[in-house]
Amino acid sequence: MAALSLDADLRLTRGLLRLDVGLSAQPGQIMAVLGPNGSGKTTLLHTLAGLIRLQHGQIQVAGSVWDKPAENLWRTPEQRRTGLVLADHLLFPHLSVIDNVGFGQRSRGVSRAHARARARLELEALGLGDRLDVRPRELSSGQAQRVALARALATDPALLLLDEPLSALDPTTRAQTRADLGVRLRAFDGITILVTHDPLDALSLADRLLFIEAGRLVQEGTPQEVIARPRDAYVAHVVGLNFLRGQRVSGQEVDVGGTTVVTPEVPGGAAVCVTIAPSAVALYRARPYGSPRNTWPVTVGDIQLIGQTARVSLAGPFPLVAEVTIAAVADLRLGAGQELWATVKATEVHAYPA
Amino acid sequence: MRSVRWARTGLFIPAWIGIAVLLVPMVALLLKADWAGMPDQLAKPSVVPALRLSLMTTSSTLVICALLGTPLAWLLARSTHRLTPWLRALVTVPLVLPPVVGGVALLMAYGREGVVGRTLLEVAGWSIPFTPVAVVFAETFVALPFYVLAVEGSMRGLDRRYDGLAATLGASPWRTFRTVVVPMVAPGIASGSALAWARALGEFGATITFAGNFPGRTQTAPLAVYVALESDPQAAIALSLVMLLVSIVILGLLRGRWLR
Repeated sequence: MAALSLDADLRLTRGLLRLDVGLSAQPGQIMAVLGPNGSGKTTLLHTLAGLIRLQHGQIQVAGSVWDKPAENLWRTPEQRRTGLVLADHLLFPHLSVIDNVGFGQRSRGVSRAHARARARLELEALGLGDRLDVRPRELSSGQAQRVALARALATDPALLLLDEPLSALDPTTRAQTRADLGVRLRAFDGITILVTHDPLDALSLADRLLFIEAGRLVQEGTPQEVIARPRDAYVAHVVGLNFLRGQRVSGQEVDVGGTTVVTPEVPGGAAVCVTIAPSAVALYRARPYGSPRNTWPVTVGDIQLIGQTARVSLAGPFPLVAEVTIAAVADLRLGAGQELWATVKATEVHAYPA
Repeated sequence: MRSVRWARTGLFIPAWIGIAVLLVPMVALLLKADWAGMPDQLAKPSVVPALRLSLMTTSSTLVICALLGTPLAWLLARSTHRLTPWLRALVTVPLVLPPVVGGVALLMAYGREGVVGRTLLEVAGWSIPFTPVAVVFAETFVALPFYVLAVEGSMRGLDRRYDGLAATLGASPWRTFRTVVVPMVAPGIASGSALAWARALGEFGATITFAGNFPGRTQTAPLAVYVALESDPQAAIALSLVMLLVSIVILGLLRGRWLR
């Protein structure tokens, strides 16, 4: 059998959205698709599932064409090999758990006994061996979502399509289900495409990240690559970094909208991206003497406490987020509208070609 | 305070009059009945065939409604065609049409000289009017809209994502309809069936116009009541009570489980 690789060029216009994304993946890969609301993530997934038709481009899986408007080629959803899991489990309420999971096999002409045997294996692999005969309404939200995953996997899909599969779960359940999902996905030999807006899902589950905004691909890479060099503000925000765009002034200086940012080394090329970790931003009430060269007057905006640290939004020559300890919040008596000085050591500023 | 009390009285009086309007006739029916003679009344040769005919025709009507109405409801619920709202309105017409007009319309369509009826007679030798089949036609004509509207309502409430999800699992549209949609809208089908059946049981105007009033052949229970009222009022009351009882039992059975 040919490798079940995916090669797609997804182009269509739907309402305000213009989707234009190229996509390719190899068997066993787990690809996370991230983007703001309305960026086209779900539409992308639906084109692969066959719930929305492309207007241009094509979808090829394992060498066979699923959709290619130019040649009038089209496979209906039931002729494709996909498994779909949505935020709501959407289990069939009138079927038992095992018959829910067996539904796909039954639809493909497998005998009831074989479908049930397969469903049992899938459910046992997800730790649901003791819930086979109950109705979906008797399941907890985490169990229901795992049953939905088992149902999608029981048809041996070439593409497993997960649309925000954890977003409807409460935080505790989400963590456990994410772990179970991770284990099961690593054993899955097809291609997984995971749409999410939760960076933790993407970073902990995926081996490749794809960022789309307004229907276009803005960045693609391994989690390590993306964290090291985000290409735009949204990507940087997802991985928790301050992101600035500027022009190279010298080997150590970048001009960011009229303000100079100093860094150990500026790469060649005029346009430069700069990232600063929020934890590298220090805050002072008065301008520090003999201060680092990256010192800017800022105004405090929103403050969020997360455990022992606080994330502080700052307005200044450019927007920044600082992460300070809870003790610093008390010492500085931080409050919205307060005027402070922010400093960043040059060695904490990371510049790379845009 | 006083104005509140007055307002409350002002609401209570018409409300209770409304209840009386509905309740007094039904209680009167119970009071006027000759309970001791009931078994004899119901065994009369004019009563038994009418009840049997009503049972047969309404059951047939229900089966036809389910077979035709369920797919129709599904198409209406899911179609995005621009003419669909018009089709939906068209289905509703018999709901508000005076039944006797429905009977005339049926006669124009399937009567011996009717648009379809003439051909049926010439080609197949079938004549529909004034037969038990005509009773079923009349009952279906008035009951089907009730069934379709109730079922379509609950089908439209069904999350569309189930359709797509079943398709990705390999289910054809027919399999999705049969194994996902129909079981999930079972409560809607039950209440639609109850409404349609009750409407068919009570059908009078279209039946008498299109099927006539031949005892044992097209005289259903409501027609028998009407005929008996002049010649044999106690038989009419007995028949009426049977229909009242059956209606209440059906309503009660469905209300607990399905009707809201």
